[in-house]
Amino acid sequence: MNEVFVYILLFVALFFEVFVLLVFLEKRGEIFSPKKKSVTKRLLPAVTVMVPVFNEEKTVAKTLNSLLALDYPKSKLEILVINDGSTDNTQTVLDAFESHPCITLLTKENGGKHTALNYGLQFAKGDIVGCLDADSDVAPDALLHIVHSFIDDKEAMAVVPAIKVGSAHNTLQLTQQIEYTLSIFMRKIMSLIGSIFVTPGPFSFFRREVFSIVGPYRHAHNTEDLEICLRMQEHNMKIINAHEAVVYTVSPNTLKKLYKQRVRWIYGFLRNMKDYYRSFFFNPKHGNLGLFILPISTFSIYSAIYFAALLVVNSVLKIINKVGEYMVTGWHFDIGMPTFDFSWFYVSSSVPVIVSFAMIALVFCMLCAGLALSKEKFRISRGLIFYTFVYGFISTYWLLSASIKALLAKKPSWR
Amino acid sequence: MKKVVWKTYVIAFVITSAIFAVSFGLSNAISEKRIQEIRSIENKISVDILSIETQFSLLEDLSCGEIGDSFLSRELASIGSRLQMMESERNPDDPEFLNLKKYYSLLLIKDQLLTKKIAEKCGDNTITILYFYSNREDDCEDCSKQGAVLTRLQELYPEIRVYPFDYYLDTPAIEALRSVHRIDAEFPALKIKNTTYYGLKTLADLEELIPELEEIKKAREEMEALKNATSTDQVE
Repeated sequence: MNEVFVYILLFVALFFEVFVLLVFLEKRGEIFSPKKKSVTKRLLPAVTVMVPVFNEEKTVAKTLNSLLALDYPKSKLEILVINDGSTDNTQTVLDAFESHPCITLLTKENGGKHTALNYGLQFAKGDIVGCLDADSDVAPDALLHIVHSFIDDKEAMAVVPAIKVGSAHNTLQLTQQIEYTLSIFMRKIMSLIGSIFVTPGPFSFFRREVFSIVGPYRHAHNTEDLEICLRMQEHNMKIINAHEAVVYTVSPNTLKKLYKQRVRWIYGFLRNMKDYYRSFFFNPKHGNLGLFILPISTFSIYSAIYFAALLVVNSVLKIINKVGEYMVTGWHFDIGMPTFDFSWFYVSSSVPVIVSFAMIALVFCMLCAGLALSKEKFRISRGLIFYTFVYGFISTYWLLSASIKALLAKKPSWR
Repeated sequence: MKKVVWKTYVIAFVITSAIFAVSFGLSNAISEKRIQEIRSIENKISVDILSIETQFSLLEDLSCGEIGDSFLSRELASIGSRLQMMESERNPDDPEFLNLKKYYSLLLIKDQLLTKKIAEKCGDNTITILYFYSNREDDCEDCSKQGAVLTRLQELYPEIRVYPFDYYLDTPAIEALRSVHRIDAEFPALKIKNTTYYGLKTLADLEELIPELEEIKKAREEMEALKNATSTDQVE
């Protein structure tokens, strides 16, 4: 029974990998040589970038400087900085930007990111409105790519960028670089099948009318970027990805910070699914998103927990057995060392092992596709090794924690 | 209503099924190759046994020193570990696997009988242990521990020959062995010399039950001391 269950989980996981790679192959022409309309800068639309800020004294200056360095007519660029009741020196840092004609500083009492964005929306004048987290910075041509995507696709109501890790100083951040490269690939695929379900805080843009149709941001278990995206999907709005629009974000540099971030994301996803978007599941009315992407995303969380639990239980049983053996044979150093000669004979050839190798190979294909989209080259790095052999196991920790919190409706802390 | 890429789902399903089919095929092919390898080792041992038996028949004309050392135990142990590996990956009730296991048990019995005969004729005092275990679920919780003890015992005393038998292996030779040695269905069971012991025996227990082990240990220590003394003399 257990064996059949493992086979089913592996089949579904492999099916997902094959599916996304197939979409990539089918749409490669569209991805790499899209039909672009050329627009003179004079005809570019007015854009508002909202920057909600809460205690970001260390990063906000870099964020604003990158916005000011955008290759976009300054007369058509409005930057709204919303200080959401910061208690550190953020306001002092912001004051230095007050005189810039593009920047408007707004201050309000602390109420959470969604309230800051909604406050900013009241002042936004742009035809296209977006946001940028104050711990991220953008490539100079990012906004042009985003706006061109709106111009090229009149049906697009929101455009999301490609997010990269800004600077990686340790193994954990290098590992997240690999993860983000895979996300670039996944976001593109989701875009191609109309299944984007997060308009991320860093540099996602919306046509102004989106907010009058779907309403303002909501708290949504601290994942307002996911909730507004799903609300747009509910209204059959098209959301696309501009993979050439690059935004750099600060990645957590410690396991504790990463854990908190991921628990918040996964908790938000699970709670939003449970509370508001359960009707999407297996509903062809919502296209590929409802029929496959949301169910498989939820399924992947639980299957990862299942496999990790299986691994932990087996490891604990093995340790108990080993200790039992030590107790009857006496403690010695060479127990556990293979007493037989090593040969190919002892390499496991069970079906789950072979399928797992196939799955790892496909993940590498996805990574290569992500690198191609990012215009980067493949190289074996510390991050890649850590991602391949370790990350899957440690990520189970936050998957499990977020699932339990979601089950108990226990809110995770923001930071 | 939004567009659903049905065609892509169907193709993905076909490809996934194909990868699974190839995985099953590959797994079976490797298992088959393993079976062939075990079979070839078993055949080799069978020839070796025949050769020793022939030598043994000629024993009257030969001196004990002329009977070749067959190293069968080592090769049999190699099959044992290979079968154990296969058992963990394949269905233990697979008829092909059971055939290999039966043949392996027969070779063990033959080797044990031959060792006994040589010991009788040549006055060799090789210690043999017959170990009966059960693979049935919840039948023998201590069998894996007993296996570890016997493996460790052989590591410490390579002079000892351990012959493991699956008590319930459906073959007349095992049935005969069980009835000759009057072994009950109680596990783990060890037949050492003429006595049968039931229940888990630790390494310390076995060292107590087989006093010869102490002699072997002493002889080895004396030999090592002598070797060390000789090498020190050479250096001087």
